[in-house]
Amino acid sequence: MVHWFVGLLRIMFRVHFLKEVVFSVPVVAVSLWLVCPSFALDRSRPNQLDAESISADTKTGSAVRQVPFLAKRTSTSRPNPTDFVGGEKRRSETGSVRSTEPETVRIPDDRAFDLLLRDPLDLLPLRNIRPLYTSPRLPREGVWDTAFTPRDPTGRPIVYRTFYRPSVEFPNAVVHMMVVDMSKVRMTYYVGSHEPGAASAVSKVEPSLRSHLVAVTNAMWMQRHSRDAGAVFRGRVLYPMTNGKATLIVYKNGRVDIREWNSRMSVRKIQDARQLRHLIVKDGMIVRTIRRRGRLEDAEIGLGFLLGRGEQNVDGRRFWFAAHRSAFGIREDGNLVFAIGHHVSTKDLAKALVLAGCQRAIHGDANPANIVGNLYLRDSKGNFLTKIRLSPEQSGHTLRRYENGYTKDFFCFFFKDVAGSRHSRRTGKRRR
Amino acid sequence: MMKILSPGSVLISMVMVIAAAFPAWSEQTRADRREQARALTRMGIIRANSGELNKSVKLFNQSLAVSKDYARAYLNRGKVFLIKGRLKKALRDLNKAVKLDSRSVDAHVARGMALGRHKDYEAAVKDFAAALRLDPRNTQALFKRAAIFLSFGRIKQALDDLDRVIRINPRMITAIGNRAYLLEQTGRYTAAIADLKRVLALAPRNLNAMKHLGYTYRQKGEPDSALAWYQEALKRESDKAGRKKLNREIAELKTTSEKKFSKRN
Repeated sequence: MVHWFVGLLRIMFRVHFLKEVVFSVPVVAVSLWLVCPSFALDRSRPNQLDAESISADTKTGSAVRQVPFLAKRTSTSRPNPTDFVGGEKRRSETGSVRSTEPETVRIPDDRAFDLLLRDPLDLLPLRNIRPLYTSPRLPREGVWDTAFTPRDPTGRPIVYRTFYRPSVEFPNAVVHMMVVDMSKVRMTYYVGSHEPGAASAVSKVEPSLRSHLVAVTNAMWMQRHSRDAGAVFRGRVLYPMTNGKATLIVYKNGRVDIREWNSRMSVRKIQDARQLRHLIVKDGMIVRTIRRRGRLEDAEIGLGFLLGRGEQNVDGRRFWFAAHRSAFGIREDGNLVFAIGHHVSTKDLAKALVLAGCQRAIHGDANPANIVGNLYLRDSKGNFLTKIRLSPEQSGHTLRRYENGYTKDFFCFFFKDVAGSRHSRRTGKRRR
Repeated sequence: MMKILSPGSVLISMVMVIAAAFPAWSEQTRADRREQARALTRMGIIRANSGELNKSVKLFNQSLAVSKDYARAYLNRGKVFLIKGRLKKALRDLNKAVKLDSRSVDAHVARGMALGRHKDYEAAVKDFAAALRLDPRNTQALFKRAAIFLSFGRIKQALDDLDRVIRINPRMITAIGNRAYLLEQTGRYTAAIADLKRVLALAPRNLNAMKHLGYTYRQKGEPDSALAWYQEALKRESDKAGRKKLNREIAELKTTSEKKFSKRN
């Protein structure tokens, strides 16, 4: 080696250096010709990695063994029988051509987006409402829609919604309604934090229940506007109940009803209740007049309590009743209907509720910022997706209310099993 | 001759040989490694498609150890993680796959699916859109995007995507069925009925389609047709609870029909 280096140094300083370089060129060429093909690879020779793979994979046999070092798939390769049929190309349902070569890992379809699996017989038998106005025709008016409403974990709808223009006088009066399947949810009353009864009640949705919220709606008027309207909160009388008043009652067994309160009714079976004025629908019919102090009076609600009197400025006091309103109705099948109406009278709101199948109904809160129907959409695992408004005219900021409490009363709807167990624990009763 | 084979000339020859061969050797080694990675990835895919997910991950790991910038290995490992429900790992791999090969439709679709399961719907829609820019006829991307649009309540967009899927593949039963359902739920009963009949033409024993046909006819106000389809469904329904529901519906419809008949008379 030393000898070669000495020779190299000598060469470097020799005159015939170039001559030796010239002689070495053919040697280089020959060497490259000899060396490179050996790098161009003995394709049949397995390497260490290949050997490891084979030793590690004994189960699939030929499918593994036929993957040699740098080899292409040979005719002996056997694809997975679950992937391909007879080694032929076949078209999958998604339309892509699958070759015999497994190009990529196939993600199995979880069938979450197979909507025909949703049994139509699980839907409530709701009769669509024939629109009053055919011109201009509004698409989907009066059609009970479940395409974008809360569902239970098995995909069955809990809420059905539609809209309807009930007024003969005001074509711009629109009522947005939702039917809540009460077999799947439990309704709960929360007292507004600025209400007189707040100190002895709950104004915030309990954190453990928030992940089970299905919907939130407004309740009735503030207590100071409701005169002598009573309330029951978790089985306890919050404000004294008054006979003859329309009352929304949530029983301890989860059933909901709307009744005129009377002295024979017992608070014992009631979880929550709230009163306001008179029934606006009774025996499946619109209440047009009421008897007060022995006199028949118009059943319209709201004079002196409605804000946003734009109508008053335009029309004088004639159309004072056209306002933003909400109402609760109960159907014969025991399911609750909640309605939000814009530019609507009490009677037109009641008319919409009657067409939605309500037997009895009670007026709810009124005025633009107070009428709220928030729907919570969740995926099949109960993960929260988004919140939506029942009415597109509902104020956007109302979506951010309620979970952390609100100054006015409101109702929450929870998945039944969860809410039921929590409330029974709180009231100290054991559920069977 | 001795003069030619002097130590100096031999050394020069060797240096020149190495210098000349090194790039080729290096390139060849890289190609070898890529080929090895490809082979291992292929093995991993076979394993994953036969349900051996853990073994397939090991093979993808080996593949990436051999060639660390092999996009397909990242893509397929990401898919396996997605199947296993390891969303963070899946997203990490799929991000890498998209970064290495931004023109891979499959990578965009897989990442869109992962993002959808990760509840990042806007990003998922963007990925499906990227996939569709590369391959406008990719039915998988259209179908998955329709599902995401629906979960957001964008029914019109969902219907548009399903329309495109059905135009590309008119025999895709799930897409036709989904479109029928959306049409039914939005009150477009005539179109829904046409789609449901199309599903039944492709799959004559589809019980769900029969039930939906009955329901759609009932909603449309044609109780006699509804009754016929419910009765057809009842013949095929084997589930006890399902039969009970159908019998209840049939009884109700019969009552309605009788009332109508007596009114007419």
